[in-house]
Amino acid sequence: MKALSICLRVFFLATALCLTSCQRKSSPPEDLRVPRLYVESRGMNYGAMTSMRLKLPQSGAEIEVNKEPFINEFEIINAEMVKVDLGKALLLQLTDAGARALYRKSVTNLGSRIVLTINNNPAGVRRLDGAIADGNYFTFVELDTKELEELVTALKLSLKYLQAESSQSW
Amino acid sequence: MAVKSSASEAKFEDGDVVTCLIYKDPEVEGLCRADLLNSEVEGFEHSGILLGRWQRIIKSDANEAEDPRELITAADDFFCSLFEQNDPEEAEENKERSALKHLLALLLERKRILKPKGARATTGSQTYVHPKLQREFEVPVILIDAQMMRTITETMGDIFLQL
Repeated sequence: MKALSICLRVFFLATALCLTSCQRKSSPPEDLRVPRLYVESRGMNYGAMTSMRLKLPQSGAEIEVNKEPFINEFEIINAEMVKVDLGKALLLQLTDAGARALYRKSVTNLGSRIVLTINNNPAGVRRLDGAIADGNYFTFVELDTKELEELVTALKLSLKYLQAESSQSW
Repeated sequence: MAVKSSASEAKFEDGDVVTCLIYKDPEVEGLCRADLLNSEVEGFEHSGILLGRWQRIIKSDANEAEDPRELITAADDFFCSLFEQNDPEEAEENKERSALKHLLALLLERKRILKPKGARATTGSQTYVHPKLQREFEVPVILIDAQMMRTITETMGDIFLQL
């Protein structure tokens, strides 16, 4: 009887440990990068509570943007480095919801600029010159090729982690 | 935003309900706008095609920020009015009207006033459902160029720039 009781205890303990380990969230990557896209604010919003000013690190360009990002880190599923005519650029691939948000913004804010931030630091800017319907957002970033390669590698890991976190929280 | 009537030039007072008419005059490049007191709308004659209308309430403090709910209601009214196409002069769909329908549908989709029905179209047309009105709208999805966007924001910046 005592042996049975011990066996049951061991069984419940093992089950509990197994469940705990299954539910345990993966730890974030060491070099977590959080990308977000902000749209340039329009009209006379200077000093308004809804906008903020971002300064690009190399060009020094200062852009007034809406405080709320229109694409956040959970709406970006992958990052790639791509070669285009003018050099190397960053490609961000978006979720369906993110692609729709980008399409809406690219039509209704035609001519405005989009600022990419990484961990809240401005990294790149692009002017909206047409509708973007495919959920692929290309932008140049103010980094050299080596830094861009490192950024893409870190972004890939970060986005994978964030997507996993996002699906677990649902 | 206009501070006086386009018809009588009377200065708008706090609390006045003003109707904004947007029309396309073939003689004029871009879009035309008339801000009128409600009592003046019936007698106002414009040239060209009336595209749409909305109403706004005048506030005494011009610097006071627009109430977002009022802006959404104005955009919603304007969007619906774009479908009241009963001008015999307008034989075929006007390019400006199509662009306004498309832009407003996207803005109102973001504000969850309209819901796209079926697959999200990026060419052709998209059906939108207006749950509050229980009505469906067929919205043309057209290419809007920078010039068109500039024309629209110059005429209706108080809606498009703040929504």
